[in-house]
Amino acid sequence: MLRWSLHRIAAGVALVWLVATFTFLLVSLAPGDFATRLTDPRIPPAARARWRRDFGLDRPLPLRYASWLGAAVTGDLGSSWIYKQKVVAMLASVLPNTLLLTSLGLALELGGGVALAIVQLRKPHGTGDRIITLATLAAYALPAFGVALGLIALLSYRLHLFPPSHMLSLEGEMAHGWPRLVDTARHLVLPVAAIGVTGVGAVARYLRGSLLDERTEQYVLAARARGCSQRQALVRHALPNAVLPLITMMGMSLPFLVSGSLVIEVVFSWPGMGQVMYNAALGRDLPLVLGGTIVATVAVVVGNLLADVAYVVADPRVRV
Amino acid sequence: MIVATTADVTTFNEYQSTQETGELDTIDLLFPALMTEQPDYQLHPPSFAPRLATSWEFSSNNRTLTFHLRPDARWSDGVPVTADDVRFTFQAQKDARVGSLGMEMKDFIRDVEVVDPHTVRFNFTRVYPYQLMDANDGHIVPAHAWGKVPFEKWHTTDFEKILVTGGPFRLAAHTPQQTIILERDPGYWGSPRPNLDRLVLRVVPDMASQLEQLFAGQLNVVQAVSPQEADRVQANRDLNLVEFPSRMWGMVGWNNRLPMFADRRVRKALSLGINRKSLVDTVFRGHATLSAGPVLSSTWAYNRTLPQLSYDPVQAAQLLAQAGWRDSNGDGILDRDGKPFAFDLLYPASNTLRRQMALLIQADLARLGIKVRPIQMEFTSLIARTEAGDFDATIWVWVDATKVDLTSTWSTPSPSQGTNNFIGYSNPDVDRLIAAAREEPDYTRAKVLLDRIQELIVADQPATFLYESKLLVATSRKLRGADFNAAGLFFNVDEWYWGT
Repeated sequence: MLRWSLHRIAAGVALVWLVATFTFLLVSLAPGDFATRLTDPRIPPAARARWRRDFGLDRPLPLRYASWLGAAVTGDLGSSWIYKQKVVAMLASVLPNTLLLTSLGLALELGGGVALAIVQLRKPHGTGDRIITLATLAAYALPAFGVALGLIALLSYRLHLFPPSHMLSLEGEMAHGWPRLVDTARHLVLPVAAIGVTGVGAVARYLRGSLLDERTEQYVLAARARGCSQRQALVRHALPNAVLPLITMMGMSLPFLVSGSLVIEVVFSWPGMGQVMYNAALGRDLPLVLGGTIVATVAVVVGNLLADVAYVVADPRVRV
Repeated sequence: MIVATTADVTTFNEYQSTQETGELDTIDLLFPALMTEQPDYQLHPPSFAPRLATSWEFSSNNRTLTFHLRPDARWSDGVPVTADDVRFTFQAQKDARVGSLGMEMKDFIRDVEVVDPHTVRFNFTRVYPYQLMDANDGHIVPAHAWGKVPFEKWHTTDFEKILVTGGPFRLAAHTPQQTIILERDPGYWGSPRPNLDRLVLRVVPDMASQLEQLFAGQLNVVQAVSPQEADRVQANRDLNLVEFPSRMWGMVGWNNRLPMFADRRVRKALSLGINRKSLVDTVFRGHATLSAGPVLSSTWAYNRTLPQLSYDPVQAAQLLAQAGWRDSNGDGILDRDGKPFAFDLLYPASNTLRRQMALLIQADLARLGIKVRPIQMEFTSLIARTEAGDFDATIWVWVDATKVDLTSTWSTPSPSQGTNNFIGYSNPDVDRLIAAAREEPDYTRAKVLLDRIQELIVADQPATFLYESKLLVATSRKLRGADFNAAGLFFNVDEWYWGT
């Protein structure tokens, strides 16, 4: 177990280093740099060359990489070139916002998916099953921004039920305690729904498929023979086995949890990782791009680790 | 009053700013400047109105400029704004460790002297037309608060934590990526004082969402309405749409260094072969005008006698034939020395207007037997390739300063100075005239030189001049007193008020 853990951690560190290095190269070799955007007749062209010197962009690539890596291994990810703030502090300020949104979105996706799959399997291939299959497939096929805009148009502008954007209303930003919490919750409804609606289809499809397979397995038939109801056999016996592919799927979703959905964040003006990373990438803000990438990669590594652990828990046959 | 903005302010210190997101508009509400530049540059270079300085005068040799400051000016913490702050600001502007964007604007200011707490003197190393503008460039920052941060730390300091302001508004609250709330500073010394108690900037990155929230009454001002949406805004009874000339203009830049575009007959043929009038009307739906040359038609420097090239495919074909381009192999595409007349036209991927332009240009030039391949590119990559000269043709947009200086954009690129002349245009006569015009202190004499420069550039057609766009600001009809112009959204914010 100890050897396994050490091995996995070493592999994880190596992966983070590889991804960061690859990102460094990718951003550095992409056309343009942080100073490129200063092309403006109102700014003297000499300012561009000056900024390249100031930010060390005129140094050879290996040198730039070495100095970045040297600082990064000591935990110093530097300061964002655009925002002039410590990368760690910036990410720490936006990450909770994204986590709040995406974890609720994923929870809705998972909970909704499981519930739908169980409902569908009451009568497989029946009318209800078909309708739900069609609806979830349609939702899965819809682009996220389309769903988001549809939800806003209907629930916000037409019915005035929920606010169309932001994390807090202007009054909410000034408030404390309970009213602030309620305000945040109201603002969460539409973006969480947008994530949930598009993702619930995938979960339901996966689970329905594997439950359908498990249903005819002998242990389920044995359970039925022992007098379990159809529902008990499904939920108590088949579900734990059918959930395995879902664990893998959820493990793979962890980077989404951390890096967020750019589309959802832009449409809902949500102050999260997706927006910050997008602007950083467009502005070639290398320290910020690398910081965000590292956080997302760590999330992938941890996600896979957690998925493995969950596998062990869910499936007693798996041993490490 | 809730104003939409696409991005949050990245810093409240102007001298850290990359000046991309219009954050200078916000900084202008929070910090004093010596003077306020007026948007009256239609007939002469812009004039200046008193702000922190009540009056100013040049010495007899024009090398010294003295400002007299308001004695009652205060920072938001009650400390007086003095000549020391002006000198400190100048030191920050000039310091290489701060690396402010406008550093080169101060190249000809040798030093700034404190005469007494309310008198400050700028000493110039030379006499030139834009001394007043260069002295005024940049807002005054608080020496007593920000002077504690050594200049080498300015790159990485969060100035919001030590924010001291000195404008009509002060910062009441800031939620990153969401909201900036400004409130009227009761201690403000300037006049007139704003009517509004609060001014809220709400970050809404998606333009479509901005408009929807304006329609829903959750926003009161949207700064840049796209021409496609103008009718929808105009049709709404609760909204006002204000249109005014911006300083933004667009062109197709031909890479003059390539043999394909080296001949000015060819470049002129391209301009004649593109139906510019129809293109501008189609894409902008009446919210842009046709551009004739390299100087904005809304400025004093514009040559009003410039010829406007009309759409003339017949003459275009003749010019191409004279330059040796004909369809010798009958494939429908012109060729010369065995090479077809085909090129890539770059445009930014995020911009639907420019995509439409690219497609219309492709269609027009196809009729002449020229094969255009429109290529969309991510914005920074596009600039990088253009800057490197690694392109055939590009749909390019400039936002001009009120300082008319054509050096960086139209003079022969000089390796030592840096350049914005990415298309590689080079005409020694133009170079000479531009150098003379930028030194000429008398603007009426400078105008004669500028007129000639424009004639020469238009005759050379290094680029096809397309449009000057108008800016469309949508507001709630209840907003009264606003005068929107190219000087900035909040130019007369003091006079805004809520009607009923």
